[in-house]
Amino acid sequence: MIVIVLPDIAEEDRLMARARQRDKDALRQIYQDYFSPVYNFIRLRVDDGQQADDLTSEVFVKLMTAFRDGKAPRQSLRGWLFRVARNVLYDHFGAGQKYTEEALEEWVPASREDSDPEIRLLQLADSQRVRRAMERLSADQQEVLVLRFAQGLSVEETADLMGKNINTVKSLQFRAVNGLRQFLGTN
Amino acid sequence: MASNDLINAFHDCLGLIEQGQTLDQAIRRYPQFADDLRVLLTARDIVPRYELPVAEVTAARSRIQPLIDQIIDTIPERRSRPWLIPLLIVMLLLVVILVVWLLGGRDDAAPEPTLTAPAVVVTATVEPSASVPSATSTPAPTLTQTVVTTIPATVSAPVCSQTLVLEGVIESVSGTIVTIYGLQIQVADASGLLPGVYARVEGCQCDDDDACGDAGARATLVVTPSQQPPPSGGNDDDDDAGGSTGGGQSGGGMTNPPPDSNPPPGQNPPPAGDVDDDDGGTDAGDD
Repeated sequence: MIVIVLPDIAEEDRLMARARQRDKDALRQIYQDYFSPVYNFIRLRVDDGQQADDLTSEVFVKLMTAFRDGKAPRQSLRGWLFRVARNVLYDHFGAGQKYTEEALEEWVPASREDSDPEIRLLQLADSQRVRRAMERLSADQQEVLVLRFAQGLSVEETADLMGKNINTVKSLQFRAVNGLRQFLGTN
Repeated sequence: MASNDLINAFHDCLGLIEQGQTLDQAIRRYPQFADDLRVLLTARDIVPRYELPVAEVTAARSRIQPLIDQIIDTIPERRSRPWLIPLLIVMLLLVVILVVWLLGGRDDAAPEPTLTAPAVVVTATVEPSASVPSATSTPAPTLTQTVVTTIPATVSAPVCSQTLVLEGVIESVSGTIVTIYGLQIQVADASGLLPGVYARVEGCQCDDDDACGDAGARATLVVTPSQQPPPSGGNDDDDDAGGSTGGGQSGGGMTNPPPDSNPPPGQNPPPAGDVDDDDGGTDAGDD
């Protein structure tokens, strides 16, 4: 059911080890594997697709430059990427940028080949309600939902990324899911 | 407002589901929150079901790809150097060997000049004998040891840390062993050295085992029969000669006093400091 499957940690470590040796194939593989989650993370807050392209490319240019200069991330690559993406968004829009209505319009049920067509029809019919429910959440709650449940980051990674403590993230994720449930139930 | 218990239960159930448990298995641990948890966990499952259209993401990736490729192409690939570590080890070993060789070479080279110095070997020379002075005099046994400045080790000079001067009557001669005041001194040639002869022994003590070791000796000794010290009440014309070795005592027929005889009253042994200024037994004949 998870839409965006990030590379597992072991694979990430292997890629990172090769990338630190400036293995160009590994660097290209990192771009292929991590483009989609980073682009999704940025695109849902940016109305303009072209602007999302620019911001996403800025994130990966920073990553490649870091590898070139020997300043590659030492721990979680995906944590590093989302932190840079978050900073890029803040640089352009300031803190607290919520998912925009236009961007959420782009948010559609995941296309899975093995999905039951009937379920997919229901999902499509329901997608409008889900988007509206997401719009009503705070920026922090939206971010926690996406980082935790769409991007698959752990509570610790999410807390580190957002600059909050773990208990705050636990509370945020609970209120986000509870809000989503309430909005979906009333609509 | 949800209680902390419900928040924590929700968090625990998320962890259990991520570990592979089913929703029902996860909820079973918290029966008091079962209904709430089921709704929340179902709602949570909605989020991953949505994504941006794959075509849009793919198109965006393709648009950015040339820029990323351009940057990657400018990154110089770091070549692996499997020979680097063995090379470093070999270089390190060479440095260690060089240091050891240098240190060992210094030890060998330092004492070399003194080893070749001829004065290190025990030598004993006997100069033409002067007449043994009168028997009335009771020469005081003189054992003078004067510390002099250490001579730097050079090629031409022996290392002399102390100058030893011994004057007295030869007590016995046995082969090449001459005994003066109980001290046995080996000489190369004992001819001319007879018991009862007053003799002077000058020595240069060598403290360096390496320098003196070849000869098994510690001093350069010169045994010289010399004149007896002036008798008590004797003339004082040899003040400038200094000390008991100054000689200046003429006249023969003197017999040697016993080695352990005491000087007569008023006859003190010469001051030790005068010995070095003395010309030794060679002055004896001048008087």
